[in-house]
Amino acid sequence: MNPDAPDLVRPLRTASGAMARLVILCGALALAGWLFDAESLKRVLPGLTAMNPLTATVFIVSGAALRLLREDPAPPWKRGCAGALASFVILIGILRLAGCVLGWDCGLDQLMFADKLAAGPGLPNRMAPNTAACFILSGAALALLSSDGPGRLAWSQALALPAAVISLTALVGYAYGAKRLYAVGSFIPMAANTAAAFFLLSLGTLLSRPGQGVARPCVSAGPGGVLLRLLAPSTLVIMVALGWLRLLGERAGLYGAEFGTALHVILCWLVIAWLLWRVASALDQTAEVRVRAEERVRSYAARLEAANKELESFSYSVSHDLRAPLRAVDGFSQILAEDCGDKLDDRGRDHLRRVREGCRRMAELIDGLLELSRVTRREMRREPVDLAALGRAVARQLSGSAPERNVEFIMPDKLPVRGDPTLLRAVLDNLIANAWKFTGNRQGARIELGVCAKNGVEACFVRDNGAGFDMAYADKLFGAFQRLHSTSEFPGWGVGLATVWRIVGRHGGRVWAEGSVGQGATFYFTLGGGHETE
Amino acid sequence: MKPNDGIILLVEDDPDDEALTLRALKTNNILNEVVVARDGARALDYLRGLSAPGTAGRGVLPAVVLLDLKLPKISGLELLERIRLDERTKLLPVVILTSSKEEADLVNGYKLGANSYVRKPVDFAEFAQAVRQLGLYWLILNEPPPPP
Repeated sequence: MNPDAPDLVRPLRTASGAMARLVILCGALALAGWLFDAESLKRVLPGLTAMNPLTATVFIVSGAALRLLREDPAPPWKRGCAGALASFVILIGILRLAGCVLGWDCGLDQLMFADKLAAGPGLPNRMAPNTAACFILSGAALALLSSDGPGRLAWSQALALPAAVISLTALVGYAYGAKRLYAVGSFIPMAANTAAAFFLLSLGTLLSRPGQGVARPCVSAGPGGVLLRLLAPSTLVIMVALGWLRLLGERAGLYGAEFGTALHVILCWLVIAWLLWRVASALDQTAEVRVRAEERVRSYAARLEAANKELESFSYSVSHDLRAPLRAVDGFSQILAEDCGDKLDDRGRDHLRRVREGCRRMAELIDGLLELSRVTRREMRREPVDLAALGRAVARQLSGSAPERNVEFIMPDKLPVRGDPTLLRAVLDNLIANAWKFTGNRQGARIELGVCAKNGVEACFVRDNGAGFDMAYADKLFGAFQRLHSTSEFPGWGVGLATVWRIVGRHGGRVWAEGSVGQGATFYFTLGGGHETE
Repeated sequence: MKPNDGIILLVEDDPDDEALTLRALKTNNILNEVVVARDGARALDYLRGLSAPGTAGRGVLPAVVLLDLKLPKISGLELLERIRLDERTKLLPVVILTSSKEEADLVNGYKLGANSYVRKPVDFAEFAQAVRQLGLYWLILNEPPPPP
């Protein structure tokens, strides 16, 4: 679905608010017309039906209800008031419509200005039955808008739409002088200003929640929204204008009905064809742009794949090609020491020892780099994992590798999370091995694995009471080859924490550390998907 | 248990690794004959020549093949596949001895029927130890398959 155009939602709601004001103004002007006998305020043009004073009052009430509901969601008290006003509108509509159908007269529309109503020319001024029906529809639409609940908005719009159609029909009827479009049977017709006010009221109701329900395409930023906004108002104006021109010519005696109809049809079709032509070329252009964009995406994807392949072959050759010469250097220095050791002095033998030490460190470094690239490329699964069980396995392995060390491990019975078991094992391997390494010079070493609330999120942590680090360098901890301790103090290559950082990142989580020199360190990490709830 | 007189077929393109392997065998007193093939094609020629009629081949398959994966011409995995496809060599013990510990190599190696997979350590002492254990196991402890 296309996103909303955010710069349209606000203006449309402002327009809806303005329409509510205009509805109130229409009602107020008509009332003023009755009060001061200003005919043009009551009936727009002489000879047309005047807006009934009750109709004018109900418009003021309806407009007020729509104004109260302009916020979304509106505060409860405003919704309550609007609901009460809308109920009043519905009630008046039902009473008057029932009166028309059943021939029973409640006389509500003759309470105000009774003497002036009776004095007017022609039919006594009443509320028209189509006006009453429109009030029922608009009132119900407003009442639904004021209540909340699923589907209420859709129903509200479904009721406002027919009210808009009825009033639009009446307006066109006035424009063309087709009385049957604005009058029902022998009843008094809907006044022209009444029809206009209804059109504004129902449009205002529809647009008060732009971006929702049937009004949604109105604000869509996609091509559909653009089309709708462009075509809906323009076709209406053009079609009505063409029909009016045709009638004008026919009435002036320029041509007969057959000629007029033919002319009208052709002109309408030409306008529609022109609009379609514009739409078609715009759509074609869009499609062209999309095809080009897709091509670009495909070429990026191909390049990405090539880069990935290159990365893979690179790590393969690191694994294979770099280790082979290293093995030769190491092997032949040992053979040299074995075969010609007696011809070398102590310095010579020390040099050879350094050569072999260098080989060993470089081999570790290559393995670290491979591990780093492996966790980046590895396909990730997400499944329930017990970190505590993984932690205990790591602890067993470390204790087994150095039985002379006495380290206290504190771990919960269970620590359920969701993630990739192999990658999470690598996280704990690195963090716990780090803690193990940095508590090497300490009596009463303690390594703790657990979970705690940190800055409002649940974070797992690995804590030790070892050498710690200076918080000033905390941001350097997770970069590859960054080290805070010299190799002679604590061996290592600074690849482990970079690996942890990458794995946690791939889980959508975050890793950070706290500590101080000599006081130990705590590494926290989150795993994005959150902890398994029990 | 006495050491059998089986031949070791060492498929290795790197002369350094070849020298180191031979040295490791020698220092561990594994004195069996070692045939070195510098690439997959030569190894295949050697294995085919053994049993081809009218050749100088003694008709005895090696006791074990030590196979490097990264080889010119025919790669180690391809050679392994061909060994397994050939009726005469399909039971031949093959040990992959390589620098790689890529998961793909491990999986494909075993899939194609390798009997063992050993990663060459960089440290020569560890490497010599690995070669010693391989020799002990495949030449002394292991019963080879009956000749075809």
